[in-house]
Amino acid sequence: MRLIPLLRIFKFSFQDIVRNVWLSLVTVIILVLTLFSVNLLLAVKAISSAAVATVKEKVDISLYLRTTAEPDKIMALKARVSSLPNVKEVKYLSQEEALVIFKKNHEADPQIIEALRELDKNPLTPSLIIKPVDANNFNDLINALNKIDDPIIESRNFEDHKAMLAKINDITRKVSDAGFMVSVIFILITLMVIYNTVKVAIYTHKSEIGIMRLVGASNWFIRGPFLASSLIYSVVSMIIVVTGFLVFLNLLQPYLETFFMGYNFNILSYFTSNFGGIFGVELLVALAINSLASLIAVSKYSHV
Amino acid sequence: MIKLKGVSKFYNPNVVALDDVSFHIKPGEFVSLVGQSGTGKTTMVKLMIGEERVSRGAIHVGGWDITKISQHDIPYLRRQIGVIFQDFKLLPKKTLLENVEFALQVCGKPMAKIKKIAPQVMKIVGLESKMHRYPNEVSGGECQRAAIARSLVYQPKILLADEPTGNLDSINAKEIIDLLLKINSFGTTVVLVTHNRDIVNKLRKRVLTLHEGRLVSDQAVGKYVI
Repeated sequence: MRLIPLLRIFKFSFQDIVRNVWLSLVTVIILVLTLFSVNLLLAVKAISSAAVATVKEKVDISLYLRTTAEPDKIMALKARVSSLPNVKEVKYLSQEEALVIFKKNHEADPQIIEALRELDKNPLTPSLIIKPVDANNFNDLINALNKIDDPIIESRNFEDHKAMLAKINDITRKVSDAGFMVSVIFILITLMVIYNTVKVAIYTHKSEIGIMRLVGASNWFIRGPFLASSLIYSVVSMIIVVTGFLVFLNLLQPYLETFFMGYNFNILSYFTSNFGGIFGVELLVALAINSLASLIAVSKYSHV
Repeated sequence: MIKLKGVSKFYNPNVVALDDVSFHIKPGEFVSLVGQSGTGKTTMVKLMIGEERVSRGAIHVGGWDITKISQHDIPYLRRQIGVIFQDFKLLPKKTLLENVEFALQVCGKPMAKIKKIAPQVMKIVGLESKMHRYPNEVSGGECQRAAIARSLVYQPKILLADEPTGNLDSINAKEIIDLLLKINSFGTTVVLVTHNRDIVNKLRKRVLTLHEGRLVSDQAVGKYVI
């Protein structure tokens, strides 16, 4: 017996949706835009996190040493730096190795190669290349390196790295903040749209509701179709968003592959491997928000 | 069956719809509740079906204490009280039969039962040949018959008829009153709310007369006195 009212509630709900097809369409479009903006925000966060991780992976600090530094002193300094907290790896780059790398990096620039040839000696210095464990704690590492006072250290210049990381972090934060604001705005719009959709649906069914009350329909049977409609809107919107967004990511992936050349980052895999965690939670949140808006509207207006 | 004891209804301290009304309607009675417009007849109906709450006094309808009834129980009360109105309250986009079926659907009756009961009540009210027509395709009297059929689907012990002939010509009005008498003859208590003097005087049944919210007359075989 309990199944019959439930099936009938959904039957009436489908009838409502079809009768108010334009209103239903607008509601679904707003929901789709909201969910799409939330997913876009997630995608931007995933991409920017991957980009930052990639850049941070490339970031290292160099301590430039005097050309006269003796190997045992260099090794002692390397050991000292290695023992510092937040140091992942310290690599010694000899004067000769530095020259080879420099030439390779500038092989397309004949003027620099020519200038090098005209010099009698290797102008580069040996160095210690230090990779941090966590690039976010760069400042601590730089402070620790600044405290090392060893005569074989010729120069230290860390400012470039600090500025670049600060810029990356700033861009990431701004993108996240903007995305968050857009999502909040869309969620508020969704709440208002669902609320008004239910309100209009109730008014268009004013006489029907009155007759339902007259013949002894329970409150939940009267309110049920409106709640069911909002649940249907949520599920339909989610299906549209999942399908549309995965297609969108599929189209985006080739461009991202070019950007993340040499790195294993696939935005489509990110979403498909976290399918339940992302879309499942979004569906639950959408159902909760829409049910809330419907409940408020129904309890306020269904006494017609 | 219906018992009112000292019932008053105030919409605000200055607007008194009903003032200290008491009466008792026994099972199977046919009672006319009469009075001029604005004397509280419709308020009385609203109080009896739990649509409005009394300000003072007590109402018992079919074993229910309306003064203490919860919102949850009101739908169950309404399934025991059939109500018809002057404006029929039929859904225009449904056929007469579908209107009757709708009353059973919204209360969760199985489809097999609905398909059995609805045509039966349509036959009782004499609409078996027109039950597939829409309200705008039949006369006012036939619409009211359909409304009566809808009110009968739960075999109510009480039928409240609030100005059921108000929108009908004299021939259709007579047919509706005859139908109410027929329903009453099956044992259903009928309360006819009307201000139609001719109908009340011809019925020769019990008459309760309201005037300015007060019960001024209760005659066993009464006439329209105001």
